[in-house]
Amino acid sequence: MLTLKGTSINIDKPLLGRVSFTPAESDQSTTIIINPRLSETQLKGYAASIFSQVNADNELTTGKIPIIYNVSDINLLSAGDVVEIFPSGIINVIYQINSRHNQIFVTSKCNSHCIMCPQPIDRNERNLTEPNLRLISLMDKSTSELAFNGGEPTLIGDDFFRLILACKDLLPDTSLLLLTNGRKFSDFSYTHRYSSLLHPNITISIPLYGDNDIEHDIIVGSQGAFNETVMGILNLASFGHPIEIRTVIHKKTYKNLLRISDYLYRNMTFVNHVAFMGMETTWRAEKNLESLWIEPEEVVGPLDEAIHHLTQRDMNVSVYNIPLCLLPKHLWTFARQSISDWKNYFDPKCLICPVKNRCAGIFNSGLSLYGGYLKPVC
Amino acid sequence: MLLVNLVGEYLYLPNNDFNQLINYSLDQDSDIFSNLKAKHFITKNLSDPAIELLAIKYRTKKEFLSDFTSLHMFVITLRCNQNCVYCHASSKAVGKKALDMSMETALKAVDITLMSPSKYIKIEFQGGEPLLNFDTIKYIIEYANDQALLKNKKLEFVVCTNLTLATDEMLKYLVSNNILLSISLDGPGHVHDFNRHYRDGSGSYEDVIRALDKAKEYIKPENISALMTTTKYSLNFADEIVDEYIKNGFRSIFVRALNPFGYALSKMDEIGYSPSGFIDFYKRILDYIIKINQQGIYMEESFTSLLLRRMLTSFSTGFVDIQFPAGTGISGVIYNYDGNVYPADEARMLAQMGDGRFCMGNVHNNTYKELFYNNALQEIIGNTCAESLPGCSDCAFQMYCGIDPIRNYVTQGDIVGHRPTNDSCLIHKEIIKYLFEIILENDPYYMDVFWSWLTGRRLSEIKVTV
Repeated sequence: MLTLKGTSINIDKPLLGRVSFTPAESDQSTTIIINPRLSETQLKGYAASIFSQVNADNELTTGKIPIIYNVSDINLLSAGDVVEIFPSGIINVIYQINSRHNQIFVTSKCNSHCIMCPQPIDRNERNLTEPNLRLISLMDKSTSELAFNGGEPTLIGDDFFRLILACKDLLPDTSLLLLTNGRKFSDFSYTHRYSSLLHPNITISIPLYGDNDIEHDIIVGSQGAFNETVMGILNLASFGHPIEIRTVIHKKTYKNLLRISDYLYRNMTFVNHVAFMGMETTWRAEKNLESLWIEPEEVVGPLDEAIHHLTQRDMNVSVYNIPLCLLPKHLWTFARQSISDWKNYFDPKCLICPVKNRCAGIFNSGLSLYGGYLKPVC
Repeated sequence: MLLVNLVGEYLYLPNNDFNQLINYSLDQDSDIFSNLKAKHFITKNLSDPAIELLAIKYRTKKEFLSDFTSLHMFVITLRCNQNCVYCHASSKAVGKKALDMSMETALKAVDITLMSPSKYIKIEFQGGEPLLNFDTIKYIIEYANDQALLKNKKLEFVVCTNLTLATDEMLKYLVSNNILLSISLDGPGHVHDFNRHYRDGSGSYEDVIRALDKAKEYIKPENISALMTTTKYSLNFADEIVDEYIKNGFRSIFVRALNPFGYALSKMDEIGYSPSGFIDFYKRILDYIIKINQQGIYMEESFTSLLLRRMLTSFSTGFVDIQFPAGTGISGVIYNYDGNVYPADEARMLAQMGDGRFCMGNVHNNTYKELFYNNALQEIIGNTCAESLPGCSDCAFQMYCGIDPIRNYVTQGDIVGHRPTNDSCLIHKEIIKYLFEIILENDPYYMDVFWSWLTGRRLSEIKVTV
């Protein structure tokens, strides 16, 4: 997530608002205004104001309106972005109108415990549903894609359904991507309730790390997970939901890619898309790196085999999070620019690379690991 | 050791591993153990979704049974202007109009056809040469189309013809009604003429090609298919036969063995061959077809793709002549010119030769229920379930194969048949074995072509390597 910092005045609790550079006709209480030409009187009624100046106007700093000033990089903000500002002067940009990677972070709670999980669990997490509902209400209707992320989004009970319904109501043209381990959907009546929400455009993205429970369950750190995930996929398919399968590639999965592909074709020909993904090396992935790390060149063979297997069978397959210079040329057509913009990184070496503009790059967290492998392609 | 499960998934196991498996001594941490679980050969507990997945796949595989009879063949006339070397119908002279299907019979047969529960119904016009009785064809198409509207059925019509008698008027009519053509083409001139000639003995090849070219002026190439039948003479010309199909713009060929019925039976010395002779021919022609595909020409061998679909995919593939239970009556049915109803063309020929035991009744005298719900048909179907057939029940290739009870009766004296001496069994087993050798080797040279057939795409769309 993009984060800016400044100095705050008159802000005693976190505030959420939509960025505007021009005076708002209505909804001023949910608008964060950026406009140095407005007077204190004109700024009244807005949720807050942001300034880039190092020294804010005396008149303003001594006044009563909430302000963050001394914000560099203010030009990174666009009208329509949604930001959360804190008494500390931190500005989190939680929605970017021009990004294809916007997400609702539903919860950090999870019922799996994947060895490569990049997302720490916040034991003291407050309920995020109300802020998320407010966030949805502030998003632009033109948003084309929105991901539901976690943690495991289905663990928050009926609040999860409230979020989906809010999107259906307020963002009718936005397609949703639900990232879930699918286990909750092994309960047929739950899947039935979920389907009854009748949201017209949700793709459900579910990870699979093996073609059998022995291998999958070890990786997700939860016995019985594979069986639940498979039943969940079958239940979701029986209601006709579009399903995507994701497999993160590391030392314990790279040899399974072909068998996972065959399992999908024989048992779940209905899946719309299969994504093989490079690993984000933060949190548990970082802690367990020794047992997860695999040389990029060793991945190529098994990945190639699996992609060929799926392509032969007319199944859609993509490669996420792997830069083009680590893939043989004939696999480039499957590579996608999948890394969210705010954690996407290119090495200085990449600047002269002729295919940089269609490359996924790497996660910023992977710089020390992958930096040495990156090279401009000719 | 090749293991095959009940939905046709397979796993190759070295003998040593197989012995450990059946002795319960296989290492549970081994890759093989995981593989066996993944392919649902073994399970450790009942909460495993293996049962659910197998059930889904089994239902899917047998889905072709759920619609009941969808192929309805009409013998429009017994008359024919040709007298082919392998004809089992012993065709009748062109003048004998009493051997035509009458409008009354046609009407009754259509009524019965449209009582089938299947929503999609294919009506196939056969003979003899059906174009000799074109008025009845037109009558059936029009009457059936009207009735189909009332009954909310989707119809497809196919005319099986040697095409030599097709006039511009007929072709115009066929194209305006979206009718499919199925012609016979046995190879280049000398092969085709050896097999297929007029009643005076002269060859029909030139007339067929001329008629085919004319037909293409009206009918889209994808609506014209061709069948080839293999005689002893054909065996030496595998490549030339395929080339002839390519030359005429066909995208598939069905390499069919002779049916030892009727007229053909008396000429087996001249036209017949051993099962191994056919298997050898099949392998040569398949190899050539693969080579052609690798050169960028799409040409599918339909028997191979039928078997591959069963071996490599989870989809349902009924095929009237090769399925369990047999398609006789329950997937396909044939109405003779006189209104007699038979579960297969072979049963009709048998009746023509004096043994009418498989006749299901007559459209003039019997109701739909009497025709399709009777002991005779139940006995046939009951004796064609692989699970209870000697020689099939324990065959690893059961999910890929099928049985033709009438053929068993004709060649072996009863509908069950004796597998160790059954030519069809021998041919199917050998061909499936051959395909497995290719599949297990997994050479993209073959497999990419196979998958282009199974997914109906050009080879270039499948090759990942650029």
